[in-house]
Amino acid sequence: MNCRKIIKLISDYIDREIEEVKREMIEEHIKICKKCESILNTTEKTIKLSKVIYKNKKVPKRLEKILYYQIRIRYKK
Amino acid sequence: MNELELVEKAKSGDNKAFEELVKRTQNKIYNLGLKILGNKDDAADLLQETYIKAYESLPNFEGKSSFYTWLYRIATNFALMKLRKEKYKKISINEIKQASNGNYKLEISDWSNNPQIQYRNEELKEILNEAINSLPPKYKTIFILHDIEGLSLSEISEILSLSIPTIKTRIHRSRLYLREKLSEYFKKKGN
Repeated sequence: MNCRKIIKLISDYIDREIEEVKREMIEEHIKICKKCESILNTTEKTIKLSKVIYKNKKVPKRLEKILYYQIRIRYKK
Repeated sequence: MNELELVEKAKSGDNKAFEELVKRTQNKIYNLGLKILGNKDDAADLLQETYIKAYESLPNFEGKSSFYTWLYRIATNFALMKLRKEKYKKISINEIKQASNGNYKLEISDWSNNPQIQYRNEELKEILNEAINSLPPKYKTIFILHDIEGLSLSEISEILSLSIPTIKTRIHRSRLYLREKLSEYFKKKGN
């Protein structure tokens, strides 16, 4: 398998959405190809970093009040 | 009371049950809005519109998917509509394809263990945030649902009515594009 094909399969590999045979081929390839190994490592890191840039927040109290008001005025209709 | 029971009660006109469903899901929906739309005002709009629409459409909810998935569908449709109206510059679909077509222009230095990768590196967060925001709406939404919110491919397929291969392609292209942007950052920083 050449580098181009490996790169196309990188996401399937990361998500474990890949057949065993192809997974082994990728693992063999990255042992000898620094370029593809780098792309795999940095893609995995990109995903990890993306997960930590957002902090989950609670709905602010004021907005919560507006939200329930908006819903409740529809009850009467 | 579980979600199914609450949905049934809400459908039969029990407003308290509907409010309980809102209470249980509101933070998730609000955070989805913050992530996709990138600011509090739009996230507040998304939150309100989602539940108003959910309340009004509740009689049509057949329970084929979970209540959550159904809400996500309403919320992402609203987000996509809003994103398409935005004026700031997005990258083109071609640009994102280029970053993932496996050609050798890809930046290949391995920065995955670079000491500058720290949780508190605000500059890095900013670069990544900007890159995510510049993704075309249909890529950005899928990337956030999958890689940040952790939804499965089949859930996203239900939410957006798209085939799984299409979703996989968009996730893959988004990741490689974002990776490329981070690679450029580390290259500038001298890796």
